[in-house]
Amino acid sequence: MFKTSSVPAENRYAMFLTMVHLGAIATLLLIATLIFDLPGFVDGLPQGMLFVAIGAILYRKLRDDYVEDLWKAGISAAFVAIAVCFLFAPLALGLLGDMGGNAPWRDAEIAVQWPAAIAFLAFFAGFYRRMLSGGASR
Amino acid sequence: MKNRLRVLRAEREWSQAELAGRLDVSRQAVNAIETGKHDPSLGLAFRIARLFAMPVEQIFDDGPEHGPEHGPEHGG
Repeated sequence: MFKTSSVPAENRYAMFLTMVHLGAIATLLLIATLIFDLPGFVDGLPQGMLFVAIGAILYRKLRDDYVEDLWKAGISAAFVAIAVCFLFAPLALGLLGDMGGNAPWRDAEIAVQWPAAIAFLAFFAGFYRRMLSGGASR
Repeated sequence: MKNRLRVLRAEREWSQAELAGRLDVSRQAVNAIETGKHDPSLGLAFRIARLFAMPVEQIFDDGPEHGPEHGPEHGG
């Protein structure tokens, strides 16, 4: 994707930060498309932006020591968010279901739980793999 | 964690960008270390120590020093 061997760390940092900004804007747009009933072509825009941004963010060679620290903070926050969603989303959806009829919320509950469960599984698999292999990433 | 990076850099009259270039990190990384916002990884700490030709513990200080009486016991 990027040739980083000859790219100065300063430029890699700038590139990473630009992609983070792009991802943040795309996420806000995505949330907006979920909340409001926007035209179809608007839905695809944030998804495309996120695809590019996440692709670059996941490219590890763009990260230096400091950016790696920021990355870990983001990952930690994401994990906490997933945990909170997993634990409390069914409760919230249940309450909403009681208020507005059950059937549609039941599907939404399953839709929320599955990605969270897979994310947990991936987290623990990665955790134990790293722990057992003992490999240093830096 | 306290460190003497800013002092050592000033002694050599290097800018943050120049030090960052020598360490292959971003200027923001050097700034974050100097201001105590970021503790460098072990690898980067050793790179810094090698660059200044000093032991790591003379550059970074993690607080009160523990005497050998507080260290782990080595059983025989």
